Amino acid sequence: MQNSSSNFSQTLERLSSKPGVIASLVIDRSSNALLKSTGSFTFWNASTSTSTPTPAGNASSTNGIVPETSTADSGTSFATTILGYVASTSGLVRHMDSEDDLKLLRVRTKKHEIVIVPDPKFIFVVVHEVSA
Amino acid sequence: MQQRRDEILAKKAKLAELKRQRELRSTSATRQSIGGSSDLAAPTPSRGESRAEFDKYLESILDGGGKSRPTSTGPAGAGSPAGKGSRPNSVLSAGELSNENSEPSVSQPQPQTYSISTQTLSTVPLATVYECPPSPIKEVFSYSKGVQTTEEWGTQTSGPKAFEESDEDEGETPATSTPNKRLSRRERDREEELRENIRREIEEELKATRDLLTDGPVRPVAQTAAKFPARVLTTEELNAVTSSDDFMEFVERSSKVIERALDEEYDILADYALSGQNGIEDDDDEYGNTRGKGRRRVKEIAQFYDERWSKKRMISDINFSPKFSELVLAAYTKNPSAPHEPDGLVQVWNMHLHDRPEFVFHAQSDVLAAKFSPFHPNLIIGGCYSGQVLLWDTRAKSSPVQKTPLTGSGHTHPVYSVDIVGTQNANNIISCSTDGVVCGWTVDMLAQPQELLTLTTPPPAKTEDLSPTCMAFPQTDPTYFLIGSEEGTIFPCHRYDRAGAKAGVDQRVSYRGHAAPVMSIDFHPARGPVDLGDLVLSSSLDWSVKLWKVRAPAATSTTGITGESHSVTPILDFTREDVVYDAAWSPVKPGVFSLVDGAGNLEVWDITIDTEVPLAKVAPSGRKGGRSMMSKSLNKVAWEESEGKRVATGGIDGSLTVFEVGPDLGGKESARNEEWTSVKKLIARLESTSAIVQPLNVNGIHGTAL
Repeated sequence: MQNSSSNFSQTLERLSSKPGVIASLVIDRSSNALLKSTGSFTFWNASTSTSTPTPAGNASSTNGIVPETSTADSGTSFATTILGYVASTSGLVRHMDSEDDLKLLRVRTKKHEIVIVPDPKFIFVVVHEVSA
Repeated sequence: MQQRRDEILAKKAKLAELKRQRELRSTSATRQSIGGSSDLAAPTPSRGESRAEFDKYLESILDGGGKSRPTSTGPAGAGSPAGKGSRPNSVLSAGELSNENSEPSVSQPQPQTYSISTQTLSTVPLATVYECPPSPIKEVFSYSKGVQTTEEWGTQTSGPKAFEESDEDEGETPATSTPNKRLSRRERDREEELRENIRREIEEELKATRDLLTDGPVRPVAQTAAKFPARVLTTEELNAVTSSDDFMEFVERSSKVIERALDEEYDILADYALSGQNGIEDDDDEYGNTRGKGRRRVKEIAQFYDERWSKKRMISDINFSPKFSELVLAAYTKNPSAPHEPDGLVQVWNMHLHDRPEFVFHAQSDVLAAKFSPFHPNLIIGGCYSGQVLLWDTRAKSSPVQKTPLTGSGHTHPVYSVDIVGTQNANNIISCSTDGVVCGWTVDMLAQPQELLTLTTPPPAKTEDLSPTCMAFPQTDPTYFLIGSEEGTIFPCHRYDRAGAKAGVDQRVSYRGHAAPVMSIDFHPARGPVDLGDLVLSSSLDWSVKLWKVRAPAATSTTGITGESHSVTPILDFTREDVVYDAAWSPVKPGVFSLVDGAGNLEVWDITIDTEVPLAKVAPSGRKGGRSMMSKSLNKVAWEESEGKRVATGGIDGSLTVFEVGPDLGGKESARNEEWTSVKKLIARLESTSAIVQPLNVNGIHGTAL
């Protein structure tokens, strides 16, 4: 048991130490809880999150206002948006084929890439920078 | 937040400035008009005032962005000035008065238009403007009378919101309905008040945003997501979840996927039209190796090392998966400084996953040989120092799914060589230990060997003992194989009795040439127009690689008549500058082979081009933190079989390095038929020379060969 959870933290450690990786988080879908998050969510502009559900990592907000929010808050806000995004995308997939299922989401922006592995029980998200 | 407030204040200041200017204009106009016509005076002076009102209005909407916000700024601001301002104006026009006391009805615009219609033409444009947004203004006034409810306020916002961008122009439209005001001081006071209100509102908005953040703002998504952090899990709960099998499996699976995604080097969004950086990279070597250039280039493409598992271990075997060309396995010896970790280890690396192995398999003893089963992509066989033969399954956990017993039947000495021979439906694991025992096993049952053969050195030797160091089967015949021995001789062996020869070492032929233990034997993987399956490459600690032409087992029975040992010499000798640990034919190019030596170099040769010097020679880049000189030696080399473009090598320092060779040294598309015939011709020439000249003179042969 101890071994397994240390395994988990090792995995996260290695992932977050990879070059370019900004943040990673694991969400438990059954209890709707944030299991673990690493890295900083400074890229996450929480003020735009309310109006735009798309996780636009780049600060494309018109006013360029960056509110001061703690990392935990923006992590939570980011996770919430990810949940919504995954939910809507799996909805889309189910419309295409009711027996199909969502396996992987990769969102590329000019600056970032978000890799999401959705699972019936958990969601694994890693955000990394796209090298030019 | 500070920044935002500053910005808004700056904006506000600008607005106020504009307002003041407009105010000045309008008051001057008012004075003029008061002197002139009272009819006109009513609408005109009200402009500035009402504009301010409306601006503030919009301001609150803009900044609040807010519907259901309970801020009182708007209504209060709208209410009080209206009440105050109306008094001095009430005399002026009936329209204003009716406005003041109006019931919330359509009647309000009517008297206005009516009165205007009786007036001069100049006011007509004003009348037309009133018609579009009459309701918001009216409602403001009715509220100013008494009740203020947030809902009504909210409904109004939808109207003005559309004007957001052009508030200055739109500000004129409701102008006439608001009562006018003349005193600029009061005006200023009100502006102060407005500013204060706006500030308060912004603060409230920020607070609301922050509240939303913590409470989970996203409404439009599914209910489950709506209140995301349902609660914070306690430590026990967190542990329970993170240590569940489900979760572990998920992490294992998903992190692999993510790492592959991150390691993916090819950018599918690459725009080659934009920059030339992505073009051909011709990086000049930085180590001063005589590394091949251009089409003979040998380029390092990946290096695999796991801090936990590869540390202080040596690579004892390497094999590419025949089914998945991106997978390559490496077998490791024990880590002497970690007695609690399993001694033996096999890691399966993925070319697309750089930082961690795809699979890790354990053994209780150093793994000395390992190989993917060519007949089943999930199975890996291995031979151990303990003499065990192991079978791992990539679908199972890291411990072997089957293993031979330590005692009793089977091997009791280290197994340095394992292979799977046969066909898809009938194949056997063949293992060979250093005491000369060769065992055949079925994949399904490793409890005891199906066949067991003890090899002995043929008669004219001092001792009967034979200690094989390596074993190789030809492509075509699973019953016949070569054994490289510690004394340097290579013996042909039969698995079964056959005409003229008993099972075991063929007594009539031996391949003598090496003066030190033979480290590897490799049959030519003949897969071309010309059959070169009888060419064998052997490497030895005597600093040489030798090329042999072995006799077919059927032919041996005719040559050996009396059972006298017939010695065969190599047809070509490649003398190197260090001990050679391994040599392997390219799977696609008939004349190409690679070798690794004790100095840590990987060399790629092509006997059709040069038999004296390698075409390319390269050393793996040093791992940072790796040990010095002594850790450079390379133990094994392996080609990727389907494409023949990649070579993997590894040795004492435990890191597995994969190279990609240029098109002249590998790759299917470039293999031409002439190469096969030229190898054939070369062999024929070498054979005739070596038949005449004995002992063999390599230099002489080289001269004639080219």
